[in-house]
Amino acid sequence: MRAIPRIPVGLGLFVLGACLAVVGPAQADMLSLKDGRFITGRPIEKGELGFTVKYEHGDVFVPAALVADYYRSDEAGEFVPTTDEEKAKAEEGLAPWRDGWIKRARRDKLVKEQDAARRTRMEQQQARRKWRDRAIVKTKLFEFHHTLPDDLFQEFQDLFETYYKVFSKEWKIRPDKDFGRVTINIYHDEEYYQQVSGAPSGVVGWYMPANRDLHFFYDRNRHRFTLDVMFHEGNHMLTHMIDTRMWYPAWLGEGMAEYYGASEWNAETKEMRVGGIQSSRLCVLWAQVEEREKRDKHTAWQGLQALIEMDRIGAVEYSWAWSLCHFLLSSEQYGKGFRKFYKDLGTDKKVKRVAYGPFVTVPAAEQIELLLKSLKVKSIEALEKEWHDYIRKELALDLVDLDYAGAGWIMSLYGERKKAEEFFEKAVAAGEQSGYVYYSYGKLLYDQGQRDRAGELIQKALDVDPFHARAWMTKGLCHIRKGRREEGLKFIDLAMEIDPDDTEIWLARIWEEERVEDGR
Amino acid sequence: MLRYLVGCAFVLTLLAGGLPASAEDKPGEYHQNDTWGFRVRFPQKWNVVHMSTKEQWICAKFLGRRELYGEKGEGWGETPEMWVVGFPTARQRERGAKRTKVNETLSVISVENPYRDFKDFVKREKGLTTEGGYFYTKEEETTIDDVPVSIYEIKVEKMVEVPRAILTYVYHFDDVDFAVMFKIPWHHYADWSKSIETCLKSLKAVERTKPFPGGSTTGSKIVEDEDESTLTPAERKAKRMQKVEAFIKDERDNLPKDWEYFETKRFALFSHTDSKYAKRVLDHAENVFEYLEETFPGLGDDYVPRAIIRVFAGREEERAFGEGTTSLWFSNDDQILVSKDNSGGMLFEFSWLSSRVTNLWLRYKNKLLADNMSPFIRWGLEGHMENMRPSKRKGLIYARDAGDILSARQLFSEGKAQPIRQLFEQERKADASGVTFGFGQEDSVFSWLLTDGNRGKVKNGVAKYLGSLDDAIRLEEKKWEEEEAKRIEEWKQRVEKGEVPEDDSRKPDPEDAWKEYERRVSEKRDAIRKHAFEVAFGEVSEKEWERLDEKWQKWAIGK
Repeated sequence: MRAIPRIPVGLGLFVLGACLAVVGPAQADMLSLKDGRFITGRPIEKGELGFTVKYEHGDVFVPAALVADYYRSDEAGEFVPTTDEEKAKAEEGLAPWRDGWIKRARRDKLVKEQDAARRTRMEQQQARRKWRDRAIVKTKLFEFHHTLPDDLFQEFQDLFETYYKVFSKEWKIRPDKDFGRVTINIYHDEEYYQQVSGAPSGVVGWYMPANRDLHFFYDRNRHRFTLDVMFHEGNHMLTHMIDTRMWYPAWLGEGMAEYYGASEWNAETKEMRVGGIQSSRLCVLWAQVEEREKRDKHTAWQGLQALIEMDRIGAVEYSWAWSLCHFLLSSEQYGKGFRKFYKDLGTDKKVKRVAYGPFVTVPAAEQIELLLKSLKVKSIEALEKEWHDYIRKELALDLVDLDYAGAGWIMSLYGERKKAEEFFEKAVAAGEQSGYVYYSYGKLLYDQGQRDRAGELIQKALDVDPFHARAWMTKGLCHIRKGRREEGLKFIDLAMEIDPDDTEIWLARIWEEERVEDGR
Repeated sequence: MLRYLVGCAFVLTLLAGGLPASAEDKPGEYHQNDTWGFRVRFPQKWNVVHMSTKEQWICAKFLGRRELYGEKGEGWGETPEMWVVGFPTARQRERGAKRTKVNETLSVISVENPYRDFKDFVKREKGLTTEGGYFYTKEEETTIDDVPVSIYEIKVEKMVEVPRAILTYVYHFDDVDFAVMFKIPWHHYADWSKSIETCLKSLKAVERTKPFPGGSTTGSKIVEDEDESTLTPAERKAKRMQKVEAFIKDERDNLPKDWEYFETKRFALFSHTDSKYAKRVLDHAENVFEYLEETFPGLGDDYVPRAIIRVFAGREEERAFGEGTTSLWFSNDDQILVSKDNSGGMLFEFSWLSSRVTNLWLRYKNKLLADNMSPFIRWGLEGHMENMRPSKRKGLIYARDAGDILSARQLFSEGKAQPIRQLFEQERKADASGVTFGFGQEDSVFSWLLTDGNRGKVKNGVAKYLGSLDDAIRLEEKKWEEEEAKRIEEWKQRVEKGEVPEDDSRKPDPEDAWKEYERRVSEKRDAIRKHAFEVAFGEVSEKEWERLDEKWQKWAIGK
């Protein structure tokens, strides 16, 4: 299971609000976005470059590149000629259709039919977002239950099939016939995932060995994060196939899950490559080392034996566990031995196991003994030293190819603003174009008084995600700070329309009123 | 952090005793609520739960007669429930953030976020309603006696031991929606569906005799409207007394006929069980209070208002009462909930009562001390009090739990025990592997120092320590306020001289400022602890501490 710390409200993540799911009155306008959202219940105007959604407090322009499909209730299908050629043809009773001209009445009928089909298709996609109407896709190994649009889902199906092939080949596993199909549940957003899967806040994916159930959600703001979670939880699932009775110890189960979590994936070629850098975990690790070295150098670095002995581990230990697996698997000296150790732990009959609920596990002392034997290392202290040296030499932040967006995200979660700023800046400089990064970075800068740069970044966030309610709110705040109060308040009001349930936006509005009254 | 759910580990194979598992409870009599203005049928012989006057949304709850299990008898057993939840339309008008000026310098900002409707209620109160991952299996619209009704069927399937059904009819009247809701294990749903449907279809509006209860909201105040520390002791006493007594009166006025009321100078007790047990509970609460007053004299001067104790016939009823939109178990609301339930041992309820009375006593007696105590002190004190048992002859006696002795033995065998001195002197810290110092040791240390160890140079040591802690905290608070005022003044002067830009440029990094603040708080706390320890135990030498540790350890492991 992938665990991250609980996210305080004020740290830059936002709740997807009222853009979703409610089908408006019959024949209402509707936009289907490529990221899976539906916009409905507002008048929508179509233009050359995109669509304009009309709200009471302003218009939201949506570039055509973001739109998967649309339906407009007032498109009666009637053709209105504009060019000279069209006017001439219209006088003959003709209208354009595809590359030619057909009778006008027929063209109007075809457009109406096309429109109706589009609306039906969009409504079906939207209806699928209810779990009772979810799509179910069965393959030889998996049963997918999902609420995604088909084109989004396809990537995930391809990924799981590829992942199984790669993992089963590397570890030579074949689930026995009683294993059955794993049910993979994919949700269109985090909120829905939490509702249907029952996951507590802070748990972004989980796998239940008892009933072979895997759950995660599509994060439209952070595609890489979604893949990360899939690879991670998928690893628990695949490891379970090694031996269904075996409960892998925390450091190893999560360490390997994080190792695979950093796999690279090419959706077009359907290829994956393991062994990448877990940028967010690495940042957490170094942040902890820095913090602890200030207090006591001798306990700053995670002890290896202590890590192995932990029955449960938290988010910080995930980082250490990942780095340990990365070290051992990358090492020419230890890679083979570690692979043997990983497999033997679950399958070798000579290894002592003890009951662990309905499963079995290997006590820490036996793990250490087997590990040292498999790696041919004399002592755990010696191995620990090599591991720490590896981190210093090979995993220093300035040496690795960091995913700066992910690093910025995790640092902002931990309240490390300076580091978050630094990483976000690097992400933007490296060409990152995600609404999440632009908004988070912009908000950080706004909070520190850098309003000009904040405003630029917030606008970029809105360019890639026009329905980012908090970005509208922050844009409004920037305007107000620059003396453009009325305009600013309108943006905040627009934010409230886009997401009426976000209490942060309510508070921002009321704080602005307070400032005026107090003469600030 | 949650990893896998070892769901199988929690699966128990139990046989449902008593009535055949599938036998449904037929629809019974009507329950009428004149305050909310409805009547509805509930199943025969189900218990009507007494609702707290503080509950502003859940109008009624009914509890089934027995627990039901999963299809193969699995699960811990769930009592089916029926609720009626009201959603007055007028509350929606109060949605939003509001600012109210209290005086020249103080405003209150409150966020009023009432539940929009039943679906919003289910989503936001998942811990109460579904208690697991859920989805809507059915959503339909109909009318019943010309009243539009929405029908919702929910299946709770994930993160639960046994799948659960929640079937609800939401009646849409002009000024209020009433949601009549049943919760039952999914496996039994089909067998019970007829009875459930009869009850669900039975709701009728009746004339309301009063306005809807409570205010609008589930919101939270961003700024508290009054800080008690600015009041004089006499003003605090008056305010606390007025608030609590008004609440007690309100509760008495709304007490159902099958409940009894008892009171003393310090407690108001509402009982739904036999008088004999209720009086035992009241006596124990009084004894605990007396013990605290005698053992820690002069710890604080503030007025401790009367506490409310509710005694339920059983745990399920207590749970049903305590679980509402305002949770009553761990809030600082001064209500203590106990029940007459022997399943976990009668003493469990009295332990709970002891620790809650202690918590309340300390919180009101000396709020500053209570707020600044380290977890070690607080848990130690409450843990010790949990082992104070009722005694016919002596009123109250200390009786150590066998489990405490086993825990202590494990602590020592794992090498996780800390010297007593270190526990008093240090903030709770963890080492690199996450082991927290002294965890699980607090109550043992405190109990020993207050009983067998209460002699020689550490006699009355705990009382002295708490007393000196109080003094030290007050001293440090005063110093802190002076230092803060000085810092703010210095900052203002720098701004006036133009040494610090005001806006639209790089401000002092809030992260650095926070870390600096944390460092100063940590230093302050260390200073407080050191001072308190010196005053209480300064005469004890290192060697004497070693001997005391040995004595304590022997006592802790039962030697």
